[in-house]
Amino acid sequence: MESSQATTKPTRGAGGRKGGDRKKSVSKSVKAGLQFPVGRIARYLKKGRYALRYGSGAPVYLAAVLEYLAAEVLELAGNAARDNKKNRINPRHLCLAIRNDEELGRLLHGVTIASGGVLPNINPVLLPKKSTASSSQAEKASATKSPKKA
Amino acid sequence: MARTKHRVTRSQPRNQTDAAGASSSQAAGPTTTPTRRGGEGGDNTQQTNPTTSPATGTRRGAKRSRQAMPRGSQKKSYRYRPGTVALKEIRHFQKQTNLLIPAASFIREVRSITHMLAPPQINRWTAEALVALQEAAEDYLVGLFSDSMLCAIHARRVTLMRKDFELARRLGGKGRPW
Repeated sequence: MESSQATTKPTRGAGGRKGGDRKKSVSKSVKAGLQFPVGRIARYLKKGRYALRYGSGAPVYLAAVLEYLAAEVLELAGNAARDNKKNRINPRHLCLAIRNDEELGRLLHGVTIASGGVLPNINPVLLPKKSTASSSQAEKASATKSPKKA
Repeated sequence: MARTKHRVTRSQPRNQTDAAGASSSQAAGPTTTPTRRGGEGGDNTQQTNPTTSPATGTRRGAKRSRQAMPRGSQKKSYRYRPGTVALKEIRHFQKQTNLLIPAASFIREVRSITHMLAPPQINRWTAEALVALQEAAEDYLVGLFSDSMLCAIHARRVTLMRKDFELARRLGGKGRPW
């Protein structure tokens, strides 16, 4: 009797599956080749109750879109930081990157960036007029030059 | 007993040149360094240097230098033409990103408005909320000023007027519901 009790069903692998060792888990972000978290975005979609059901491709697509936008903004901001001889991106660089880009500027038109400042912009009407004497001298100089011979 | 200072009155100075130099230096008054600011060229503020005596503000070697210099070659204080400093300030303020309204004044105003509009039990603000509110307020004002400047330029002016602000608010849908 005791021997029969001892030889009961053998314990299976982890989680009750067949086979002893468990495979190493691969995240959905790695499968999709993305840096943004696909699983977390799926959880946010479910918790937000934006719809009753979600397709399996929806969080992957959304993560890819968000990653593209982030990469675009960061690339432009990095270029702005490098132009200002800085190694660190600050809000000013982000603001310059967004406002100088036409499409990003339209997307973030009503957005205020804290400590971002404004684009350097002076209307040409406000700039001082060139003196007439210097302009007339320039015209004379251009007129006296003989045209190049072929 | 307090000592009194008795001035010696001479009937005649020792040499004529010394007296002339002293009178000219007294008439000239304290020398000020020429300022390069636009509207502050003619003020009487004295910058006391180490070579300036603290009591009078005149230089030690003023007699000899005044005597040696010709009369017509006194340095005139430099003045920028109207509009140059304004453009310099535009470039300066468009380059920086810090807040321009003084924080204490802004917080006072926020508290007074809170006292007027909010329920009596709500009277405290976190520091982050005040900074965020000031950022939003200054961003709104900068946008309003830029729109108003466009309105003024459209009217062939370079001077901002009240009607420019009213037009900018009316067309932009900002502020009062028209």
